Amino acid sequence: MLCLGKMLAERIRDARAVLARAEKSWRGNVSCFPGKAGGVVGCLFGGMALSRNISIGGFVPVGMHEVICAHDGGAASILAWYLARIAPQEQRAGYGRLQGCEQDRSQGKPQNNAQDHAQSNRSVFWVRQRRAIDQGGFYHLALPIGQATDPPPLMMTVDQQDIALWSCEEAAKSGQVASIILETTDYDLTSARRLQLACEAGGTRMIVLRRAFHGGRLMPSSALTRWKIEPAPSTPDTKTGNIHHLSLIGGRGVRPGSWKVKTDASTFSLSVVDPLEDGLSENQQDHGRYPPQGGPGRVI
Amino acid sequence: MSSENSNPTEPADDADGPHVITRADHKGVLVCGLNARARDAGLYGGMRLSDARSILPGLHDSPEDEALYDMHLAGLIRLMDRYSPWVAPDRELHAHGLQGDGGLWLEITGGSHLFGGETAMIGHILRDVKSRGYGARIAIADTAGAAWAAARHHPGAPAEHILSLPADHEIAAGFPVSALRLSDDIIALLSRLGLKQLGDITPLPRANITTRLGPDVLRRLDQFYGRLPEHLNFKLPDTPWLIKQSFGEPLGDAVNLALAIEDMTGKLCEMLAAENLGLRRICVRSIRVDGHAHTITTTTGTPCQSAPHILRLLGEKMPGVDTGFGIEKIIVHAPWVEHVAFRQARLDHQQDDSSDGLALGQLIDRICHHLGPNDILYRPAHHASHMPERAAIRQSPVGGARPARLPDAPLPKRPVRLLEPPEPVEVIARSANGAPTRLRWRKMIVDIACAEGPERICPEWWGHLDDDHYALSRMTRDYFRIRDQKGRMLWLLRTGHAGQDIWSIHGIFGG
Repeated sequence: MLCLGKMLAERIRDARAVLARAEKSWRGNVSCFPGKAGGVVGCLFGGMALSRNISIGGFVPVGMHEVICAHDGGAASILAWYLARIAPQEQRAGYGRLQGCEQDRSQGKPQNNAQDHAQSNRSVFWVRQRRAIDQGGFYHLALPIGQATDPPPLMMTVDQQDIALWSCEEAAKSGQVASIILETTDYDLTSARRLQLACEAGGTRMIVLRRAFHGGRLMPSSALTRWKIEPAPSTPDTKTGNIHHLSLIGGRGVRPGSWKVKTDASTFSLSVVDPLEDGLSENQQDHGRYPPQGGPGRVI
Repeated sequence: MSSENSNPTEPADDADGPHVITRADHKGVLVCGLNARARDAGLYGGMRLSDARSILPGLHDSPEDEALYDMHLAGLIRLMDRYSPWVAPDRELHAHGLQGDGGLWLEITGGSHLFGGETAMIGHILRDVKSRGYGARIAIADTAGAAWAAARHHPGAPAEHILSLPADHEIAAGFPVSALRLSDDIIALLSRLGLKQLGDITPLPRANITTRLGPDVLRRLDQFYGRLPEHLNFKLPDTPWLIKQSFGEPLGDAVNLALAIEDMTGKLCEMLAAENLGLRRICVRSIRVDGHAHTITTTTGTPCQSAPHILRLLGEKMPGVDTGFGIEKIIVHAPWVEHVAFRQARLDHQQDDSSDGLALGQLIDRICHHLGPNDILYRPAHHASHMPERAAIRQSPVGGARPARLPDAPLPKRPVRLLEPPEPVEVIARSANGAPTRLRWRKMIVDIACAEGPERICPEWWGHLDDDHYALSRMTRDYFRIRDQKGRMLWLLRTGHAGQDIWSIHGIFGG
């Protein structure tokens, strides 16, 4: 009986060691990211810590990210604009009690100031492929431009996907735009890799609004993160307001996650409905408890 | 030598009937250009429009557009540059004459053999001019005056208007006296004296001609026969932004051609930078040994001094150049240059293009050169209109002056996506007060969980001055913000009359 107990204890210890090694390698694979660990944005959406879901510790501001959508319910555009305009300052103004955020703050601040200043006068380049997402065009008067100091975006509408991809690659390589938002249909792995390399060469961020067909299999890509946002269903009894389900569904070194967020169309921003739940679970994980105990708004 | 073309402002012959171009001055409205039908009906340049209308009541007329005239003339001169760099427009006729009978002189001495001889050259020029929609009469002669006269009065076939004096003296003697480019008064006097042709004047004693008719007749006659020189006002490039290079050994492959163009473009950019200028358009003309010329033209959005950028734009069109048996001459020309703001160079004489938007302008140039016919690149702007589709306008990506949002025109909440045109929906169920509660949109059921509105937008009355109030009321729009069972927020539009409402979805909100 004692022997059995010893064996069980050893097996548990071995399993924990394997798990720790896997966790270490998941978190340690940082050098492959273009921005390295210093430039990542640790907290998004008004204080949501991403260190548990992205191995590098947060959102990488340089590189290609994807937002998957079938039809744009409007929230995908808001999410794309939010991700395109997110600046590393958010982590300083964000949910400061989180340990991961504090760590990012201390590492990323000096490096990002110069970059932010250089990109502050550059505009967003919005490339729309006709009939890719919806037959409706993006209505720029809904954007919060003119109210802030942001320069007006540069917009392009094209018929052919190859022209859209070429233009995005050229703009990404030049580094003359703050970030690029591309609305397009599905594309192959080579195109995605070219876009990713162009972003890394020019230090540009690209958000791709990628059309996913119903029932179709999504082609893999080299995007750093892959997001999905859908409105929370409402019933006559419960009006959900602007609540959406935001999901991190894939990417490089990504552990999927889902959150309830509230969209604000007047400022084109998103915020988690209850950041305290995410904060609690983050603290629990940092104290060595694994798997984490997610809150009710989080599914892992 | 001269070539003479019909008036560039002459209206094209169409099936509609006679048409004239008019010019208004202190004498009234005068005719200065006619099409063939008007000319056949007996109208002529310089007559009053009222007189012309009395002859042809159904006459169409258009006012003279000098800018258009100059644009066509400049285009013709550029076209003739293929045959000779020395092209002189007949400016005197354009400025003072009302005959609508201007022309161009081309100095082709020593150049006609490149086009297979004089007769073949006339054929080439006629084809080129007619392919661009002009009518032309062309003649080749030893002097400018003789060429002018032969182009108008030579009795031979159009391709054989070659007057070689004194061999063709008999032909020249049959020209009317108006071929001497004399004023109307002198021509009338000659007519009264019975001197109607050149052959009537040439035997007369020179002293008597000067005494009775003045010095002009003798001067024009001497110019006609080459006894007096005539100075033509050749149209030469106003600016020196042109580099020519001839090659003793023709360039036979594209690599050498690209290297030569790179070298010449670099020199041109250095010249421009020294004058603090930047080019907006560059033309590279490659002339083959067989006389064929291939021109590449590239335009930039901002004044540019950067040779690598221009070479990259040109390089995208270079595969279209066929070197054939070799290229013997290259001309690099910047027809459109603009001043650039002073930019301080660094100590290493390099300039940082990313500091003042130059690199962004170059990026826009590169993208614009790849756009298809329906593709657009723009910056958004705001127009003061309540109509959602009219409020969002586009402006140039470079140097747009309109603001992206007018500060004094506040907007209610607007959708992130605007559907154009609005997508009609079918109302399946209504509430007790008639408001729709269930719709079918895109073949899917939409249950309206809650609705806000309406936001009423009336049509712009100044655009419907001829419509009555009844017609305007049908164009009034009512917008509702509705939330469906999936949580989406849609912009529901109602148009039409009560009882005959047309419902559609015009936009999608994000939250």
